[in-house]
Order: sequence, then structure tokens, then C-alpha cells
Amino acid sequence: MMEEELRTREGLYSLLRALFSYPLTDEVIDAIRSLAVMPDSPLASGLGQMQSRLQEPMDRRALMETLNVEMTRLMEGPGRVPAPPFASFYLHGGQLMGPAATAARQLYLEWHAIPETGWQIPADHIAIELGFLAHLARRAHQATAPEERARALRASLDFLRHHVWTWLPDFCQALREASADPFFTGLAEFTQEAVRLDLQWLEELLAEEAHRS
Amino acid sequence: MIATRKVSRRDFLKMAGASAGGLAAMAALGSGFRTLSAHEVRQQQEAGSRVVYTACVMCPAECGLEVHVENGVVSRIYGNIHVPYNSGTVCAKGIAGLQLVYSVNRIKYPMIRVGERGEGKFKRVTWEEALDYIATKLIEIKQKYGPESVIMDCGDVTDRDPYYYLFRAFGTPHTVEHGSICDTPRRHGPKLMFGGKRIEPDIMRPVLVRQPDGSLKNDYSYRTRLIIYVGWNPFTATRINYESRGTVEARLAGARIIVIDPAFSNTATKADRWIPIRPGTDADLFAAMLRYILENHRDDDPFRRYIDWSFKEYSQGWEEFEAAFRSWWDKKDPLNGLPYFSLEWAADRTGIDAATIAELAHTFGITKPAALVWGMNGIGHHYNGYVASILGTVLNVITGNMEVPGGAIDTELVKSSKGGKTTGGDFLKREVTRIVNGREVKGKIEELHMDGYGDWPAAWDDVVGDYPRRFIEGVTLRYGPFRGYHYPIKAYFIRTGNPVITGSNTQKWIEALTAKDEAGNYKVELVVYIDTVFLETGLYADVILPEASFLERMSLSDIYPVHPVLYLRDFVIRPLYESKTQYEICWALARKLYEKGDPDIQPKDFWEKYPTEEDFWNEALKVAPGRPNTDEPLPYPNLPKGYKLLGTPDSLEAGRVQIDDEKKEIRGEPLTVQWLREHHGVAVWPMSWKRFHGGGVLQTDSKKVEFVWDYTVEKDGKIERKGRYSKYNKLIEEAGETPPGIARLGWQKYPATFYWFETRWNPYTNPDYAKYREEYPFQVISGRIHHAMSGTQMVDWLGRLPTEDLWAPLNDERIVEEVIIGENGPTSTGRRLKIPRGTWSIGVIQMNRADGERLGLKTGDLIELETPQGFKTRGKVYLVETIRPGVLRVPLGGGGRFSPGLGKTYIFHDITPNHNALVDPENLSPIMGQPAYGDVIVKIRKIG
Ligand code: SF4
Repeated sequence: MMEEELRTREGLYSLLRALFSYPLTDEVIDAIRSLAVMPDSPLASGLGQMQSRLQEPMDRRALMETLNVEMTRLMEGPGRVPAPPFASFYLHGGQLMGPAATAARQLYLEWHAIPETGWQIPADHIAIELGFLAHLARRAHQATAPEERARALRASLDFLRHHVWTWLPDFCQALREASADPFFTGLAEFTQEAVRLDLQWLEELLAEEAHRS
Repeated sequence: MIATRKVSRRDFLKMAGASAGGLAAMAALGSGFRTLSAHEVRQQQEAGSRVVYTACVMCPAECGLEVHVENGVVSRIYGNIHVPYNSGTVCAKGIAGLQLVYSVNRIKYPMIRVGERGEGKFKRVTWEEALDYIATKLIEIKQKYGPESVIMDCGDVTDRDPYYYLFRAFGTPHTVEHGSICDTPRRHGPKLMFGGKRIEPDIMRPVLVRQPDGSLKNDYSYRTRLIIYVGWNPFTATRINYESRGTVEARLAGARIIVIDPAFSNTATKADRWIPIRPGTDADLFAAMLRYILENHRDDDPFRRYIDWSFKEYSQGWEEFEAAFRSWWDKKDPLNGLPYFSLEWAADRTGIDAATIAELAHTFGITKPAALVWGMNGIGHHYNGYVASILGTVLNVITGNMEVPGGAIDTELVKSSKGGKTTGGDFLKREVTRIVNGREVKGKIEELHMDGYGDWPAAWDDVVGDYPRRFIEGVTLRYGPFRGYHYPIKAYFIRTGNPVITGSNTQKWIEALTAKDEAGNYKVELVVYIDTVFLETGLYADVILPEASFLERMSLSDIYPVHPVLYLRDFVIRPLYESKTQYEICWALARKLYEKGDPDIQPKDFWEKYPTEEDFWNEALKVAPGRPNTDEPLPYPNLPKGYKLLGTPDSLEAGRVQIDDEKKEIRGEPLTVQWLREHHGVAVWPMSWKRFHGGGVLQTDSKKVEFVWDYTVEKDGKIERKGRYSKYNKLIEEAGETPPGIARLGWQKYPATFYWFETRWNPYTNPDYAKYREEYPFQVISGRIHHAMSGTQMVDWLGRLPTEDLWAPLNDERIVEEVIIGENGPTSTGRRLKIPRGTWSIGVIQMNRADGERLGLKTGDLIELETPQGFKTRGKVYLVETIRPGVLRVPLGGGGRFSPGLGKTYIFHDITPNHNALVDPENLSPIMGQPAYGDVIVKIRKIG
């Protein structure tokens, strides 16, 4: 069972990373289309909004164009954007490359990991932080020794608590408020809920394990 | 709000199970991370910390910097003590540089417009897509209209060579810089008389000087005894760092400082005397000073020995100039009935009493060494600034102040050469064919220049002063082989500049960039904006390219030092996001053009010739310092005098040189980027003075200071035309057509020596405008200050500091919503911010208190300014004693800023004045066509 959960987490963070990596591709749109959750899942609302947008009768190319233009406006630029996708912006008075970016960079290096984009994109970009969680999830999933797996999971929890969750709700709120497009309001909701769920799951899991040991 | 339900571990599993493995499969999308070896991790950690010597660009002073990097992040910025230009100093704005580099608002990725121009609606694209778009369009334009339909405006930073190189190779003669539309009249005198550009006081310290014992030492002594700054405010209009600290030091060392300016500037606060002159009358003052000196000079009276006749040894044509100048003395001014250039005449026009003018002329004549220095916002911005610039230059020359220790130095002539082949000048010599009136005509690319061979033949230095008019009307060449040829302007590239706010009239620019033809297509088919910050002009672009910030790119700096000093702008960090350096942008575009079959772009000129960025800049360094080994004390006594110096300071010092007697060149070891890196980023060659002697550094035809600009000489039995204006006059004579700018003055061609004409829109000096005196009682001038520059406005906490009564905390309390570019233009993000009353500095309208009280105004009232042509702007009035009555001053570029890419200044764009909204777009100064920004009169109306 644990095996499946770990695989799921890796998939979840890989998907989230892809959703915040410009441009949105057919692959990631197809992934959202194909995803199914139980109606009472906390993810259902966000996912439903995204899927409703994708079901609109619109030529695929036109749809992708519209979504990417909106994503540009929301997060990419030029100039001031409504939902800057960087932790430092929310944590350090609107500037980028604050302590949040430095700490993230150091942590990645501690895990002998480096974003494929190098350091050109600040290490606290939402897609990079989510990508690092996918990386840790894979490490946990592929771990051969239980301590190794526990270490990766503990690191994930720490990173979520001290890095991601400190700003993600503010970012998701900015995204929700700035867009009228259900894909992006849904994305904001889906992301926040998914990360919250995982945070909670990790807390419970690690508390249980601590209790057992 | 998202409902946050408490879920159990089972919920999470259920969610996972319900997706039938769907989520798990998405691991294939990847994490975007790769794993490093332990060795690679160590390398990464070590590479993250270092010290780099580089050059600032938070303002155009480009000071030398020492920058520290920790964990890959720029952590500290200091001045580079080894660069004598700023000698270890750095200003608050320079230190704040990383707030621009790490600004959330900077342009991060290439973009292509998806809405209408001006809406600000873009789509992020890859470099490949952006370059493909640009290259396709450029080739189309070239095929249809010729490459001359393309303008590359390289902006206000000196590291523009790759752009010059690429666009000249592409085949356009229109590669320009911001100076083209900024302050050309003020450079005119030095250009005509010396072949130079920029007279500054000899107060850069330290200077490296050869000692009698042969050693080289840094000299910190200030010898200047008098500096007169006219409409020049180096303390806040920083371009020349050493002038602010040097002025204070010189004064402490005994120099007298006089500031002549309608406003009590920051420089005036440190002066011994402030003389508030009427705007646009600098030429009047200089003419009266010159007349006074000529009339009152006595060779035998040490108290009236104003003229140092030794200037005649290194000049020619003084007699003609003097005669032409004196010929005006008996004429009467039609407006005040007084003889030209008399003290009373000047007093009536300048508003400075006759005794003060006499005292000023006497003081300048008698105090040596001295420097008379003028600036951009005064002489540079008036229709007749050329006249003032010539007279100012003459005053410095005849009083013997040029090139003496502590005197005045034309810094353009003595700074190090740089660029060489990297400017792409050779490409302009290529021959091209055009069909003119049905005839096939051959000529050089440079002869297609829209100004130089169009309406403004004296528009040297690649000036393109006459846009945006040309965007609308197109170009008809009047001179040279292509006379009669017409072409439109179809592509405009703007890099690190913002002409919509700081070039000509704002509305005219918008009109030009959004004008459409009958088919509904934009007349200017391609607009490309290249920058780190997103300013107003970017809103009208089709493609936006992110240029690396100043800490992420490489080039060379040397802003008007008094002797050759050249320093490196180096990579402090790698370019962030997807920004690219100038070299990378140009080389990538060149490749694209080549792939698409542009015959003018060849690998041998680009990636084969300069495969790396360092190769390119090494080429630019080959010509350094490129100045003669002259005069006192001789920089290199071990090397032949008068020969051109090339190479590193240490090789020249050690005599590791080759001497070419034929070319009169001394070639040391070539200066390279690597050499600079190994020497704190800077090369300093020795200072000397009296460099006009024996030709020295002068760049005129005669190698003398020239008071006559169109003359003949006999050489090998042949008569040759010489002098700076002769080339243009020959063009005029051949064509039989007078350029419209000077035709308006009643001239047929450029005068051979002294000339006089009035400025425009000045009811106090020009009879044509006297009728506006009552209805439009205020003259509007602008002040260039740190705070009005985009870089400062990007840094909120810097921009909010008050300065110079031009930038003051006059904001109302506002609960403001953050605004970004929305689907339909600027849109609120919903984030709210409270700015309490009186806490945020904004651009204001500086007005004399007595004027305000007479009109029933109080500080903080919102007023509207309106010109006779109906151009308007608005702002809060600031009543102070620090400006001459009848004059209003606003910060240039400091108000009405409507790009949300700026900092919070944007919030107040509705109550801050935009000076350029008032500029008469047709008031192009007659010699070079630059807009006369300073010739503005208004009436005012209280609106709130
Ligand atoms: S004066 Fe200009 S170039 Fe020098 S440190 Fe300040 S902002 Fe930078």
C-alpha cells in the first residue's frame, strides 16, 4: 500500500510542477483531462474547474493559446504580474532572491540535486519547489532502506512546512483572485489542497512512525 | 476561500486509488531535477561565492564597482577603489542595484504581442519563436523597402557595440544612441572647434601623473580656482561621478563655485553663489561675457588680463570669428532696442543685472585656472543651444583654460578609445544600389542616412533626432548620391531606452507607433523592445526581449574621465531567467537571419570571427588607449612623443612595445578582458595636460582649435575645402538645396564662423513669441535627477526620498490597488496598499512661492499646465523660494508614468507631470534636429 502512496506522491508533484512550468503542454492538459478523483475528495473542486474549462467546445490549439496567454499575464510578465510565482516575493517584501531562494538552493545541493534549468530561475520558483518535492518523493519511493525512505519523507515534510507552505496559500490566493479563467482558479485550488493534503499525510505518517519507534 | 476539511490518511489513499493509478503515472512528467556527484556539489558551492569587479548602470555614470556574491546571490556592492573615476565611492542608488537585478518586475522571458499595441497583452514565447518572428519580418522589410527602413536605437548605456555591429552588418545606417535625442546642441561647440564633445572641469582625482623622478604617482591635488556651472547639476544629474565629489573637494581646496541656473539645484547648495538666470538665455549671457572680455581686456593690466593669447599658437581663424562676433555689436535687438551683447541687452534678456554679468565676466577672465561648464537641461535643450555651446567653448579657449592643470578638459578627446571594428563602421562603407527617379544609383550605405543625407546634414555621430516624425512621413533624401530617394521607416528596435516618455512629445510617439495604413496594418511593421525593465515604450512593442541586467553582462565603461581609463563590466552572476547578453542576443539573431538567407549576415563576420563574448570585447579593446603620447608631463618619456599609444599600461611602462614610425604608433601588448580581470577590472594610463599643443589630441582637419568651420587650404597645388561644416556645405552646394532647419533661419548653408539666432517659444528674447507673454506667463524647464530615472523608480524605498524640490512627499492618502497589465489593459490585482498622506515622494511642479501666492495657490494644489498649442500635463504644485519667479520646473521622465512595470510611481501617474507631454514636436533645433525640450511656455489652471 505504502508503495502505491509513494508512487502517487511522486506523480502528484510531477504533475503540479508541470502545471506551473510555462508553457502548458498537450501532455499536461491530457493528464488533467484523464485525472479522476472521488466526488468528495478535497481535490475534486479544483480539478473540476480545470476540467470544465478543458471541456469547452474550443479548438485545441486555440484553447492552448488562450491558456498560455493567460498564464503569461498571471505569472510570466512582462513587468508586474498579479501572481509572482516566487516565495521571496511573499516572504521578503516583494523582492526576489531573498533568503527563501538561498535556503532552497542550499537544500537542493544538500540533496545533491540541481534544477535542470540551473540557477537561472530562482530556486524558490513554485515549479522548482514542487519539482524538488517530486524529486524527494522519487527518492522516498525508490529508497531501498527504510531509513533512507524516512529521511526523504522527513525532508519533504520539513521542506513543505518551512518553505512551501509559508507562501503557497498567499500565492494561490493571488492566482485565484487575479483570474476569471476556471482553469487557473481551479489550478490554484487544486494545488493548495493537494499540498495541504500531503503535508497532513506526511505529518500523520511520520508521527505514527515516531510513535512506533 | 477554499474549504479546509480535515482528512485522514485514508482520504488521501482514496483519492489516489480513485485515479486508478492515474496520478502515479504522472511521474513521467518528471521532477525537473537532476542528481549531482559530490564533486559537482562542491563545485557548485564554491562557484556560488566570489568578488567581481564590474561597472554600475543604475544611472549613466557607470561607476566602477566591487561586487560580492554569496551562495549565488549578489550580497554586497561597493565602489571599486581602483577606478579613479569614482575612486571607491558608490551612491545609494548604486548600492540598491540588486533591487533592480532581483526586482519582481523585471522582464524575464521573450514575449510576443497578442493584443493591440499599447494594450500590453503578450504571450511568453521561446527565444526561437521570438527570433524567428523578428528575422522573418526583418528580411521581409529588407526585401520590400531596403534595410534602411530599420532603426536600431541602442539607448543610453555605453555597452551597445554588438547592436551597432549586427544592424550595420544587416545594412542599415540607422544605429543610434540616446544622445541623439537628448542633448546634441550642448556638444556642438567642442565638436566644431576641437572635434570633441564634452568640456568638464579638471577635477577627477586621483589622476595618475608621471613625476620628475620618472615614477608614476596618484595625484590628489585640486588646482581649480573657479568653476562656473551653467544649467548643469552634477550632484543629482549624475553622469560624471567625479564631478560631485570633485566639486566639494575643489571648493575645500580654495576653488570658487558659481552655479547659474533658474533653480537652486543640489549643486547650487554647495556653491558660493547662485545666479537664477531666465531659461533659454545662456547664449545671451555668454555673448555678453565674451563682449565684456574683448572690450575690457588689457594686456598691460594684471587685473584685466583676461585673454591668454597663447591660444593662438594652437588655433586658427580667431580674427574671422572675432570680426563676425563684433559685427553684431552695433545692431539693435528688435525686442528691447539695445545693442547686441551689451551688458544692458543681456541684463534685459537674462534677468541678471548688468553689474553681475560684468562681475561674472571679470571673475572668469581673471581667475585662472577655471572652467566654464554647461549642461544638458539648459543649453542641451534649447533651440539655440548650439550658439551657447560655441560661445562657452570660445570663452574657455581664449582665457587659456583649456587643457591646463585645474582648467577645462574636453573629455571626449582624452578618454581611451574603444570599440574599433566592433562598432561595425566598416559595414557602412559597403556599396549599394537604389533606383532613384527611375535611375539606378550607387552609393554607400551611410549615404542613405535619414538625417545625415536628409533634412539634417550636420547630424553627425549617427544622430537621428527627427523621429518619430519620420515614422509617420517616411524619409526623402536631399543630399548625396541618393538625392530624391524615398523610403519609409518600417522597423524600430529600442534597447534600454524609453522614448515615449523621454524623447520628443509623448503623444506624438504614441501616434507614430500606433498609426495604421488603410488596410489596418501598423505603419511601423515591427517594434522590438529590448531591456531589463518594462517601461512605457514596451507597451507598444510587438516583441519583447529580456536583456541581461548590468550584473549579468559584459562590456566596457569609461564615462568622460580626464585621461584614459577603461574598465570592465563583467559577469557577476549568470543572466537570470531567460535573459541574454547583448552579444548573445545579436549573435542569435544573426544566426537566424543567416539561416533564413540574409546575404548580408555571414558566419565569417560573426560566430567564426568572434566565437565567444570575450573575443568580441577583446577586439573592442585592441584600440585602447589610442591617444597620443603627449604632452606635459609626458605619459611615457621612454617612448616617442606624439605617437599613438596602444596596449596595456604595464607593457607601455616596461617598454615591451613595437614602434611603427610610419604609422606613428607604439604597440604594446594588447589589452584584454583577462588582463583587466587580473588588474581589478581597470586599465589606467597616465594623465598629462596641454594636450592641444602641436595638434595633440585635437581631431580637427587642421589639428588646431578651429574658429572657422568652412575654409580652404592649398595642398600640392590643389585647393581643398576643410573644416567641420565644409562637408555639409559641399553637399548643400551640390544639391542646390538648403536644409529646412537652417532655411528657417534665413541661411543658405552653415556659416563659416560665428553665428547667432534666437531660441523659440521664448517671449522675452524672440519677437515672434512676444505676443504670448501675458497669456502664457510661465516658462517650463526640466531637471534631470536620480529620482526621475526609471532605475530609481523601480526601487520604491529610494524613489520615495525627497530631492531638490522636484520630488516631494505631496501624496494624498490613498488606498491603492496594485495594478498589473490585465486582459484589457491595466487591471487591479485586488491587493490593497495604504499610502498615508505626505509619506510618498512624487514628481511635482516646482514654483516660486511669490508666484503661487499671487495666484492663490498653495503647496499640494493640483494644477494643469497648458501650452499655446494645447499640450497639457498636470501635477501638484510645490511652492518654494528655490526657483526664479516665472519659471516652473518638473522632473524629466518623473511623472505621468503609465507603465505598471515601474514601482509605485505608477500609482501617482494621474497627479504627476510629464514634461514631454508639453514639448512641441515640431520645435526641432535647426542644426541637428533634436527636439528643443527646454523651449516651453504655459498658462496654468488650478484643478484640485
Ligand atoms: S552614480 Fe550612478 S553609476 Fe555611480 S553608483 Fe550611483 S547609480 Fe551607480
